[in-house]
Amino acid sequence: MGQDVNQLADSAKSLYDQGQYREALALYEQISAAQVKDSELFYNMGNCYTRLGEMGEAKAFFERALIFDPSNADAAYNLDWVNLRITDALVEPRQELTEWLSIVLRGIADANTWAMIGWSVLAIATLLLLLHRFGNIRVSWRINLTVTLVGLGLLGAGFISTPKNTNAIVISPSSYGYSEPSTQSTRIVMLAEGSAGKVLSSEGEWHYIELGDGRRGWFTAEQWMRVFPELKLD
Amino acid sequence: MKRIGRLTGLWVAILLSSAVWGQGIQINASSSRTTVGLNEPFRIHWSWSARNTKLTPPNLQDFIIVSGPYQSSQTQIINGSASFTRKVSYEVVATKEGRFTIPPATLMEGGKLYKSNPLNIEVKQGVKRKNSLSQKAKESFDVQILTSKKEVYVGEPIVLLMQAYLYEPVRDLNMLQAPNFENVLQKELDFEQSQRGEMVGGKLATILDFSKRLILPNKPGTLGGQELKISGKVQVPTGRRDFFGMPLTKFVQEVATAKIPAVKIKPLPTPKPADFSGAVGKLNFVREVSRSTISGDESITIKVRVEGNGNFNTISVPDLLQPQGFDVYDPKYNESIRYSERGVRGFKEYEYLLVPQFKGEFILPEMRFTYFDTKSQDYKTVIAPADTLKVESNDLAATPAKGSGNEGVEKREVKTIDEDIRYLQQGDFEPYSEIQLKKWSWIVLLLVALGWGIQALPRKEKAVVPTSKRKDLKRGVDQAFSAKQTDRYGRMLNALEELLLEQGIGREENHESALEKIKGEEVAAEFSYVKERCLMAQYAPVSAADDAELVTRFDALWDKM
Repeated sequence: MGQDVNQLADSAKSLYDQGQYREALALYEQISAAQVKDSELFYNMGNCYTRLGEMGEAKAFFERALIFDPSNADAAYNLDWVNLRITDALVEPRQELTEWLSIVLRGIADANTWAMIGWSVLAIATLLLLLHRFGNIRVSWRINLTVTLVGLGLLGAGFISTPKNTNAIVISPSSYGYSEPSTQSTRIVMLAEGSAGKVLSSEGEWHYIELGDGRRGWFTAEQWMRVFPELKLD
Repeated sequence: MKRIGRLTGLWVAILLSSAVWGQGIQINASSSRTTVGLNEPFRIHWSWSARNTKLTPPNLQDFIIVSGPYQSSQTQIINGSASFTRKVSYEVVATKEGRFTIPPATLMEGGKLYKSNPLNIEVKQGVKRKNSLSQKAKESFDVQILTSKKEVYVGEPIVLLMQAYLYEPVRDLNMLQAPNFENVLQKELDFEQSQRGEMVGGKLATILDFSKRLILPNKPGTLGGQELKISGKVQVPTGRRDFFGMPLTKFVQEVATAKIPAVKIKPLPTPKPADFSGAVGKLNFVREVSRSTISGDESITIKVRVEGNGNFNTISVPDLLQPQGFDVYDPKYNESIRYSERGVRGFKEYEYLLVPQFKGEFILPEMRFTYFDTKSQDYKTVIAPADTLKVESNDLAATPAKGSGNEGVEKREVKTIDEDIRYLQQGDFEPYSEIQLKKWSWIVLLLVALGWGIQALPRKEKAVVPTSKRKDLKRGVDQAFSAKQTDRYGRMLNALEELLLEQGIGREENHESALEKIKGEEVAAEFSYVKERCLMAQYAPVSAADDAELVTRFDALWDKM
């Protein structure tokens, strides 16, 4: 399976080099459909969209690449490049402290790695506790407590570093925000392609989105792309 | 005598009240005339016999109330019979010809509803007035509407001047009905009312200009026919004179009417220019640029304005054709519109703020505004010519390369960035295996919690004698026996007790039985023997052979324990 997707990736790269960006993108989408979730894959998809002039999608995929690897400098660079060329003049969605911490931790290791280290340390703590109770080797409770706390901290880092990004990007030329999930309601705001917001909830074919300046409105879901669709909304 | 007077008064009051309240309430409706001319004032009366009651008049939808209600009441005593009457009157005019029935007025008293009789009124054109004073009043009061133009284009203003012609003094002028229009904007103009004397038809008339209105028609057609009704009290000479020979006069209520003369509203000539948006008048279009050369940290203000004389109620200012390389913020709107006899004058303006995003020279595209000039009666286009905006800054990126599909874009953040994106990344792609992070974490946490939990379980306390201590005890006993120390038996007993404590047998317990449970009967018996020998030897001297045997048995017991 791993070999198949890498062959597809090679083919996609060749197509990209020949300027056949749409075809290259189709192959990358096949790879993505095979449950590959690599920062490099999303970065390459972002590149294809950039070459096709679809800046909304490009922005979404570069941000997605950075979720899976915040240290992907190329993705950060290309995201800046795209941001400079889209017409959105709105404030970007605010980053909360936990989100910032999550990015910092993911820059060191991904959530699964943090969790597995945490599990291992906690398993050692459990072993020491059993020895303390039943074995002949006497281990100080201070050591047990320290190992347990370190394990819990590592496990906590695993949970914090799990991406909780609810951002979405406008991928159509424009998107109207309404006061209610209906085109008959009052139009509140019009956003250009590449504008970003946080999806607060979804109702049918509508997203309830908060913009960076605090305004909220209902937008047609098909005009937006979730940066991290794996995260289920409350 | 005084008493008789009081009694008489009381009887009169009783008689009065019984006369008034003894019968039901009757409401009588009447009018001053049953056949009236159009716009001829006449009175309608309702009278009824009840105190402290309120009459509800009917809906007079086919008539205009000129004045009223007038209320009066009277009490009559005739041959000892008292009657009380209240009366309400209105002065009205009919708005159209025909036969009309005025519905009954109603009155509620004691939970019962009383009704008047209905009134039938016939309204005719040109009915000769019975009263010569009324006829004279009619001839002494007239109104007229003048229009500034007989023919206008859609969007071209017309001024209506309303004048009253007074041949006799008139007071209490009141506009009963103003001309009503559709598809027009109308504004009452502020002006100083004036009056002047003029000969009209051989008679001296006072002409009073009492209202001016500006009309802006929105659709082609004909304007006219709308009616104006003015009421006033005309001071008419009665033809009689008073004691001093001065002529007597009387104020007679009169209603004068006039219709707006027909004004033709012409459609705008065709073909209309493609960019024509309905502006009519004498207008000017201006685009003002605050500065054409700026540095990267400065901004430009551009004002787009339509000004002059025209139909500002429908004029819209063209949107700014934005230059490339600038971030354009939402514009600020300004307007100033004044209505006068010369039409509608003022301006509408949008003020845009532009922030540069790239350094370089940018073209501010040409803008056009087309309107219909009512003076020359043709379409005119005002052009704001193309201009060049120059942004000089080392801090800004250069303009995006042409053909990249990114020309003409604006952005908020200004960063120096290369011309192109970075190339593809080559990764070793592997399908993502989802780890049940939460599930496994709960399991691990549960195990740790159990680990800590079992620490809290009670454990049997043991007096554990460390191995080194045990050796010390044994060595101490051996040395004491070798040196034949006097306390050697006590040391042996202490060593055994320490050993028992190690087995979990306390000092207070029965050592033999406890030891029997743990180590068996043989060890318990041996312990008992050694203990007894030690106790006896402390008080009775023993031979060296006995000591040697005791030590041998002690050693054997020690090993077993």
